[in-house]
Amino acid sequence: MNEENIIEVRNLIADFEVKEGILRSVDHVDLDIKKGKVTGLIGESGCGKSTLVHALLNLNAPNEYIREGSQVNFKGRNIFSLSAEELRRLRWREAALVFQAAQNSLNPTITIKEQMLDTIEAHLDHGDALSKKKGRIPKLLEMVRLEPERVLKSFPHELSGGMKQRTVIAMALLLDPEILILDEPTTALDMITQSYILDIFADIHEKLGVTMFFVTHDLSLAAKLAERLAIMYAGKILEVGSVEEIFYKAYHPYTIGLIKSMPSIIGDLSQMKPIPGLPPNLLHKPSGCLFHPRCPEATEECKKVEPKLIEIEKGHLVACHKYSNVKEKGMRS
Amino acid sequence: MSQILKCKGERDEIMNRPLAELKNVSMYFKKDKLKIGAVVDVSLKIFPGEILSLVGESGCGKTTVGKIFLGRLKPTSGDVLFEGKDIWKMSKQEYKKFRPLIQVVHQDSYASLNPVRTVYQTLAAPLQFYKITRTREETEKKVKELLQMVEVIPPGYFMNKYPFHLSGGLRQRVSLARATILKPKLIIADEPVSGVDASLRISVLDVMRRLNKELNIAFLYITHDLATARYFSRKGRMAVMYIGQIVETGGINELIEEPKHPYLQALLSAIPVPDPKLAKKKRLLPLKSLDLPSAGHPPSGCRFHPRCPYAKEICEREAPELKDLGNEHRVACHLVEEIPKWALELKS
Repeated sequence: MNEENIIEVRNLIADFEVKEGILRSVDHVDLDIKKGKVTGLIGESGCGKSTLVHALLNLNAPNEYIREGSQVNFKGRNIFSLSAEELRRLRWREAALVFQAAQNSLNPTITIKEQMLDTIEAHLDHGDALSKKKGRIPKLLEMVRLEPERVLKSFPHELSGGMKQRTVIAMALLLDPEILILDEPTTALDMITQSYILDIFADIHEKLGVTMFFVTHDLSLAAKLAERLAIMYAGKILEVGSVEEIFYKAYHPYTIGLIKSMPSIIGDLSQMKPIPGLPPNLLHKPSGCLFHPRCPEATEECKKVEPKLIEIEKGHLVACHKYSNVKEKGMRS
Repeated sequence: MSQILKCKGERDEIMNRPLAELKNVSMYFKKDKLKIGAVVDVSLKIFPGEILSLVGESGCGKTTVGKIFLGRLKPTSGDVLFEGKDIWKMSKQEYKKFRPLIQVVHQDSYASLNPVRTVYQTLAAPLQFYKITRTREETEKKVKELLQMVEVIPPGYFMNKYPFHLSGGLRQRVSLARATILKPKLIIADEPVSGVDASLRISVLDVMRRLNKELNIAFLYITHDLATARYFSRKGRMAVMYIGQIVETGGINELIEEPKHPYLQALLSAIPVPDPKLAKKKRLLPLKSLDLPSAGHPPSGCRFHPRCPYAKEICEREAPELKDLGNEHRVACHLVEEIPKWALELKS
């Protein structure tokens, strides 16, 4: 285990049992989450990014199977070999998760104050630490730019969507986690609120130095918040690098295609174009490289042999047979 | 010379005659004794073959405007015109002729296609009902042509699929194909790509652009996403809505590059851009309040004043009117001459 990494994912395989058969949602994934950094995970809907996020905390769906040999090493401990009690201690205290549309995860029948106290009591043992953490509540609410006096006595329905979302973020920070895992944390919020919340995340990262793992389908959000990025496609990680490398010097044709297919309020419209074809059906995956049916660079080799994720420059990993072609042709964005 | 001028004048007159128009339209809904003004005194024109983007955040009334254009909702006050005729004063015959000329494509492509009909059955129904095609062979040929046009390829394969077999992007193309069958002059597209995968979004917009260019169908593109509006409409016009009112209209590029209304400036400052250096530099315009007031209790005067960083006493007291700054750029702001210039940073 590398000291710099807070989480190391190794050979993670997550299958879902569905009516039509076995669907492999996460397929042999290796990923390092570096301590103190903001790592972003980009992928389109159905690529397995939420499954990966839930696996980080060993939260599985009833029809989901984590296969033998999968590892999520959290500071050296494999999360799949922990007992329920060990997991309880780890969750929220060491790693906190903010779900997609988290504003709906608040209990509608009790006040914000009550749910915050519940959270502390559920994950901490009795003692000094408990009252100390309770004392931090107002400070955390101020950090997410809320008025503690007003919010604490409110029920969720008395708050706007943006305020609920900020409350959930403050709750995630209650027990001083080392890593904050954010699964599409700004969906269902309007643009101005979204931008405000991204600023708050940047603020929290700067002030508390907390590690963040930020999952989104929107490249623009990742551009704003992330320092490192991983690109996921059909259950696999295709490219990992610093955010600048991914946006300005990507190697994988999918990454390049994804960046070019993003409409934006800036930039040359004639450079924007869609990726041809459709994402694969996970029940009938293509052979070889999963992206080959849509790839402009695909060769016979790509149809047959699956490329491995290899480090081609320091900290920049790519799973593509043809990455040197991509480099020479100056296709990179 | 005089003849050329005359011709030009005539052409201008035809070009300047709106296809569809709202004149001082307001729409109030009643909810628990509260009168909610979803649309308040809105005037909008859509010209033949143009793309008008109607942009605003959720709850601003943009969908209601679409339904009013369509004749789906009767406004509380104001006139709704199509080719110069008030659609609520049309005779039965006139209405029957008008109705097919505006079509709609909804956000939820799954809910808008019948789940127990195949793509063929969905597209064949209107062809047969309106007797556009008479025989099975003719219908099949036409359905294939329609699918080809919206790039659902190969048509023969997809024709026999049910909606649940198709991805969001493909379903939306089928909806678009269906919308063109009766040769409409206007399609109301209400957030048509927000349910489509990121990498495929612009391919659906490309199909819409093609329908606009090749079939000369005008579009009212309703969205919260300025980036897709810019991609789809290119040189088209845009109207920005805020709590039931239009606050700024004009050419979309001009509006994005030189927004005048503080609300549009705030919106543009909030939109993330896919460029890490620019994105990290971008700062949200410092608003006085983050929360959107409710349409049930709209603020007095300018509806943006409680959030506006520049608001003065007059803004609280008087509602500003849309003023023409020239070049068809109109803004509803008392302080448009005074507030600091704001522009998007375009290069990192």
